[in-house]
Amino acid sequence: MPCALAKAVLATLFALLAGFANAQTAGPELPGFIEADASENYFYIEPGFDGTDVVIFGAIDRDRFKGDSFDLAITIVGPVKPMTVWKKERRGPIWVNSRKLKFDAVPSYYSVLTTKPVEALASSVERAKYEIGLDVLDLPIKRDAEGSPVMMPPDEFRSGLIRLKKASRLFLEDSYSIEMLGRSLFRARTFLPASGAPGLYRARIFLIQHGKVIGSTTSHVRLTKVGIEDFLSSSSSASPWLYGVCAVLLAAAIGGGASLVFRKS
Amino acid sequence: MLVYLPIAEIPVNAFLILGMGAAVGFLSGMFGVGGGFLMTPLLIFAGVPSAVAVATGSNPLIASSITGTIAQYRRHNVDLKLGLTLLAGGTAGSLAGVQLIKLLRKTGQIDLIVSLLYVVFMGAIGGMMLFESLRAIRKRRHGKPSAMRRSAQHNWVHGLPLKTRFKTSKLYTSTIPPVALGVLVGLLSGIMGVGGGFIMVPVLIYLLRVPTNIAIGTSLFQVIFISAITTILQAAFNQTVDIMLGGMLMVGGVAGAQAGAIAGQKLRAEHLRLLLAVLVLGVGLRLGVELVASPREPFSVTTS
Repeated sequence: MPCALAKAVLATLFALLAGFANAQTAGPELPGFIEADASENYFYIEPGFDGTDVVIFGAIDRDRFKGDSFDLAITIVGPVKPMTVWKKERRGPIWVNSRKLKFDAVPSYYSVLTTKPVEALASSVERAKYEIGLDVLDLPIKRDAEGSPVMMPPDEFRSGLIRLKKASRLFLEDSYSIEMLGRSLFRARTFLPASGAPGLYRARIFLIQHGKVIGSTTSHVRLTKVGIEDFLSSSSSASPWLYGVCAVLLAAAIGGGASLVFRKS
Repeated sequence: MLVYLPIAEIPVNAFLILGMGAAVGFLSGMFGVGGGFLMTPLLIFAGVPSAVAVATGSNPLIASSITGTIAQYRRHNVDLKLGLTLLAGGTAGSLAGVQLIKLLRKTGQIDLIVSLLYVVFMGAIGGMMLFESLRAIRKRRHGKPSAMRRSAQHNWVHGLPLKTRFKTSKLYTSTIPPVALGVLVGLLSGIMGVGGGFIMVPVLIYLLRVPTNIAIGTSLFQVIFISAITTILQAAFNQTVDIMLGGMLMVGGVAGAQAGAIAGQKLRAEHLRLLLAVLVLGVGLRLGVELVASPREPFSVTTS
């Protein structure tokens, strides 16, 4: 367990990072009606790491929001990376990666947890403001110097990308996954697979009434490599030559050692 | 038991990886091929990203080829002089190969080119070996001794200049073919993530007329260095070598290599060649089918 000081330092760092993340957030924050946080904000990648449950707890402020018909939605967005999507096409007898489309920022993980099917929450225009739903998730594509897309139409590449991400459980929509515990408390649970990229995950929690988002709050979760995982991955990028030499020495030791062992027996 | 791989950034089943290492090590000990041509596809099948699979594949080959070479050396099956000659070409080739793969990756056709190379080389070499070894086996059945090595008979290769004597292999031949072979194998090892033994062994046997045992021992010897160079260069330029993955493959691999070397001793040379031919042809065919068959998912994703 980190000590109090470390916790304070991390919290400050977190706030800074959160500020940065919020700068890129779609749609304004509408504070006041709901409060929420993840039950754990840090997940550590150790040799046995096989993904983790992320639990989000929250409450609706019943002094300020008295309505009875409302919906909740939670989006969790992982670190973004540029990605290239390739399409195979037939060229003579063989299948070749013939066309590609570059996406500038694809979240390594994106999930939508809701109290009813996403399409029934609000219009796609309203949901697009906050990126609630895979159909309105902003996946910007690389554009040429004049600002027009490098390829028309890019839709099949977008749906191909989403299909691949869904297959590896890195993109998901889960209706009815938010549970109300009484009039104001709610809880949601989702699974973050081990193939999710390490880094900062932003969870946004939305209160929706009559098809409009009326309240929101943001929480963060961090996935970090620790111990040997962190050591190996940071050495591989910090001193790549030395890392390579060590890989060879390890192999030489195991190979040579085995010869000695097997000769004796 | 699951183990999270720090570079590949995915968890894998440790027993599956140990088993893959052992299986590939067994073949390496038996045939003197590094087994990289099986390792890379197996790792991709296990869910390892292809860049990490290609780069890490060469790491455990170092360990299993060291044990293999020591075992072969004790049986006087390693021609050091020939090995060093091959290596001279191989070093240059693998340096060029690692640079070439960077260029190919940019075009997005890397998977296609690697597959095509596999299909062409494996089809040709596997087919040739299959034909030859079956003929040798049939001859032996008819009571005639196997005449694989005809040292008195020379082909065009032996007419080239810069001749030198390779004592262990009982050869007096030009140094040009071994150096050229080294360059070719080094290039392929950089591009395909393989030690190149499956090309090296047949060429040594059929073109240079090196005895099968010595071809296997010598190929293993130079695979040590080619795979070490490839590992270091991949780590330095692409940062895609996963030591955790490599380490598990090695532990399985060295055990498998010992078992393979013992099994290999019990088989006749032409039977060994036949088995290797079937294996090489099988993998080549499998990759060929994949190129031609309609893919279930036409889309694929790469980072950057």
